[in-house]
Amino acid sequence: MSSLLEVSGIKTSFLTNKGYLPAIEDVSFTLDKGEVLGIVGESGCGKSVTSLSVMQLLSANGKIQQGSIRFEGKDLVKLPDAEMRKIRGNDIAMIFQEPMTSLNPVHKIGRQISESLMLHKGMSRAQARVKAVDLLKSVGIPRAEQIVDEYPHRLSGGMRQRVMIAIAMACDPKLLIADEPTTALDVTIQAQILDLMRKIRQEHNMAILLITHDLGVVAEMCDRVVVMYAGKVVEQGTVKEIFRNPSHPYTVGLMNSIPKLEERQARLPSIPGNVPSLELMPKGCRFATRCEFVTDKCIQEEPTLLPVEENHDARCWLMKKEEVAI
Amino acid sequence: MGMAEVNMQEPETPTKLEVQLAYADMKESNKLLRLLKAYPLVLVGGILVLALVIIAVFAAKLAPFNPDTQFPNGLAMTGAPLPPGHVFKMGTDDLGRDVMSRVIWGSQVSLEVGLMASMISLFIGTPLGIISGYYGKFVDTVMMRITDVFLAFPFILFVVALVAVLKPSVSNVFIAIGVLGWPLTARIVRGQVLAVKEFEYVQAAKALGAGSFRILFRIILPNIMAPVIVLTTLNIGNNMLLESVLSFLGIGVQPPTPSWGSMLAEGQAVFQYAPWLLYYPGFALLLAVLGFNLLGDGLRELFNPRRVR
Amino acid sequence: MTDALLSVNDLKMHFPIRKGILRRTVGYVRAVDGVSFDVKAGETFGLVGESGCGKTTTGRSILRLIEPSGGQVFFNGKNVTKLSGTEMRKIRSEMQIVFQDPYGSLNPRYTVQQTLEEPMIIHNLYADASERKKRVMELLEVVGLSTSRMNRYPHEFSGGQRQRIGIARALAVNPKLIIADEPVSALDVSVQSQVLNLLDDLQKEFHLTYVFIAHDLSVVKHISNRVGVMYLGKMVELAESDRLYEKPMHPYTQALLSAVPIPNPEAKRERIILQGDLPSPANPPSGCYFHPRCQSCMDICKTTAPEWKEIEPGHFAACHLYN
Ligand SMILES: Nc1ncnc2c1ncn2[C@@H]1O[C@H](COP(=O)(O)OP(=O)(O)OP(=O)(O)O)[C@@H](O)[C@H]1O
Ligand SMILES: Nc1ncnc2c1ncn2[C@@H]1O[C@H](COP(=O)(O)OP(=O)(O)OP(=O)(O)O)[C@@H](O)[C@H]1O
Ligand code: SF4
Ligand code: SF4
Ligand SMILES: [Mg+2]
Ligand SMILES: [Mg+2]
Repeated sequence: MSSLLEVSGIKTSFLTNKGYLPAIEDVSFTLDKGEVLGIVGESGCGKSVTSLSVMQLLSANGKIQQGSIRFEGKDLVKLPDAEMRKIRGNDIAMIFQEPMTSLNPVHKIGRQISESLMLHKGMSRAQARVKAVDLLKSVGIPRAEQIVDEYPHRLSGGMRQRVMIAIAMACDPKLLIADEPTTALDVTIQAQILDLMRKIRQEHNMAILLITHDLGVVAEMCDRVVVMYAGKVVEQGTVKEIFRNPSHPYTVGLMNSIPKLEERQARLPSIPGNVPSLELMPKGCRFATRCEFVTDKCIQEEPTLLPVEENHDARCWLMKKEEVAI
Repeated sequence: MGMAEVNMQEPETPTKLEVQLAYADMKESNKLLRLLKAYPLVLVGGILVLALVIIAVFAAKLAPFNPDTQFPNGLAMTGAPLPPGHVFKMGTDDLGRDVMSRVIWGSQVSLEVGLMASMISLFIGTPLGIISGYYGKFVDTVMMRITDVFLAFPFILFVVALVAVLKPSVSNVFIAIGVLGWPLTARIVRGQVLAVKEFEYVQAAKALGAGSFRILFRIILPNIMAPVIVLTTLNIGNNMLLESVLSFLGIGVQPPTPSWGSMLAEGQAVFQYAPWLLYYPGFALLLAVLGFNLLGDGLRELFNPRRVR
Repeated sequence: MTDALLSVNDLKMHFPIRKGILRRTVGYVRAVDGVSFDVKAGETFGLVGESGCGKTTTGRSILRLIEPSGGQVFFNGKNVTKLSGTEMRKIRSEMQIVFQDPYGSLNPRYTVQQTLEEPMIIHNLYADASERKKRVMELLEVVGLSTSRMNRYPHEFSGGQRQRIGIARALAVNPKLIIADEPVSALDVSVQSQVLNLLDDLQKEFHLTYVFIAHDLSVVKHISNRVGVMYLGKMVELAESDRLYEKPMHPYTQALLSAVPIPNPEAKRERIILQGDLPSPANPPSGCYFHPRCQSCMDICKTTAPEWKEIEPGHFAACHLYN
């Protein structure tokens, strides 16, 4: 069966004062219908660039230099702008981290929801408004009839994120890209939004690409997960596999370094050092400067994604069993 | 508290192995070059300002003639001024004086008034703006209402009145312009202080027990210098323009001191048959004001960390 | 309590809301509305709660970075709220603060060395420049930064490194108490644990007392001995941290704990999903501030504010369920 979304080997670069520098390189993953795929990683590792590449919404100084992004068989990288606009908001919808800035402050909520309905579904203004109220109700907004006529600044952060979800859901997309949808929200509000996303996914059998840095959110929401480090995919597999048997030293370090609610630890294990900046990016394994298992080989040659188990790969030389044997 | 010898922390990197870099060949280009590339007009601005300064400083050397001498051969038989020619490169005015020498000497007045007036606004406006922004509350409300009044007032009329009372002279012109220009500086400084004051490093200094003086002048002031410099640069250009207006109206720099504004005023009467009397001083004024504006805009880009990449 | 280093008693901070040209006061934001707790010497007291519940305001009014509008703060037996300006400046060397934002909390125009020397200059700690420099190098070593970069500016450091600089600045005056206002919230997980460990080590080394403010419950639990939970400017529950996490009493604490996503896909949990949003502290609900969202809300909750009571030894809560 072919997947809904197939990202293979993309490299996205930005023009900086040092020429084009890649923000992500060799990023590949697939997403099936109705599946939730998580992308985790620390700040700056390229999660947002990955999602913006899929949406073809990179800023003017960025471009996809290699690879293909197939959505239902069509390569989005090669698609003309006009075609892409038809897909955006219709087949693929996106919600962003910052609920404060991603809604247009000068338009009423109702108008912002109706817009894509009128554009993509050819609804009349009146039809779109009725649908907008329905959508607001479906994302759990109380007093939906009144809220359609409010401006965004009158709503709280959690409410705005619900509105964003309502806008994203308007055209019943096949794929929803959620870039840190709950990071700016409080835990109790985050729980509400995650609950809502779970419900929507079940009802609409929608695929979700969920970007987050919170392993807890991944564990709760996702079927499969991609771990990124410094612009590369370092590990991928099913959520259960990754949490039961994390294999890349970075993933292991990341999991160990979160304080656990259920148990008391005397001291937190931690990964030493920092993510290297692009200027200081090592040529071999990008994690080599912080890895406790580093060998000469790691420094000389960059590992590829090596299989750990079926459907579980890690970009680390330790996965080559014969290497470990030495 | 004695410092123990133990190093309890994780080393910054665990490995001492030599690491090669993936993007070793990438080199950063010079910040100034990047500014010039992103905003090439700053170069034009810089050249214009530099040229103005050189001309003003070396006016005595650069001017071919004494600007006040009324040359008998500077007038045509009919008594009309001479158009640009061999001897008088920019022609003469209706008193037979060399226009080129007067334009060159006029730069001194323009620059002096522009600079001095901006400095006066700066020295009055900055402390008042800082105090207003930092102490807030009552002080701020009063100060802002005062600047409101100043800014709403017909500025030029006020200067006219002031200079008339003080007697027109170069120094009175720049004092009048400078004194009346402070509210804008104060407002901009206040806005910057309000923004900087909220940064946690200011709170941190307070938590360390720093007094108000230290916070205001050692911490806040250096952090608002960039926009103040930009504002002052732009102000110089505007103040030069104001000086010309005043001189044009006859209440600025008094004859025979050459000033671009008064030259324009004199030239206006004979514009029909001696247009060069307007062209040259007008053009000089245009270039000088443009120079300061371009330079100010360029500095703003330079100080804006997000713009110059 | 006699062994308390810091004792906060009914602390209140009401920000006036002003309107119109005359800036008349039309109401108050009750950012902190009667908070009391003690912090023993050498312990870490955690303060948790959601955004806007008044954690930062509590921390800053303890240090009088903002003047509290009511209540007392005792530090080492002295009533801090009554101290004069000069006395306050002196006592500041004993109470320090570490900020959340590793970008905004360092002066961009000071080098690391200048940043760390500043407290020494303010408090006249060292006679000459070479002694100050020696101390700066000591401090950098203590927080695990290389001394070779002390002439660099903050923008040349990563978030975690800046936070270390901020901690070193607080340590420069040899404080007894450090109020850490979300010191790791802006950091990446892998760096967060480095800074938590550092704070832990420094506490042991220099017998520091911490008030640790955070919204991340796992982090607070990890670092604190006792934890206070705030909601809308009030303390709703306070207990030993293990105790609080094992047996939360207040319905808000229960909901808060159950809302934390657990990084274990196989864990099955009962989840309490709270309805509605956090009300505004400018216009809090009547009675128990939590009642519009509380699942155990009773009639009395709507009219009468619950009392702050010791329900079990060392376990305080404000809720009518325990009357
Ligand atoms: N418009 C841009 N111009 C230049 N560089 C960019 C641009 N957008 C992103 N980058 C660079 O690409 C890298 C990856 O950024 P990205 O936003 O994808 O990180 P992220 O994983 O989403 O991080 P976060 O968790 O902070 O959102 C960063 O190093 C960033 O500096
Ligand atoms: N200077 C001020 N003037 C008016 N209101 C203020 C001021 N400072 C804070 N507040 C209000 O007081 C309340 C408490 O704010 P505070 O910053 O203490 O919350 P917090 O618990 O630290 O939240 P966060 O987790 O977002 O940092 C908020 O509603 C805030 O809007
Ligand atoms: S390849 Fe080497 S350096 Fe990289 S993660 Fe694996 S063991 Fe560590
Ligand atoms: S007092 Fe009542 S409303 Fe408040 S938390 Fe307790 S049960 Fe709920
Ligand atoms: Mg991002
Ligand atoms: Mg806060």
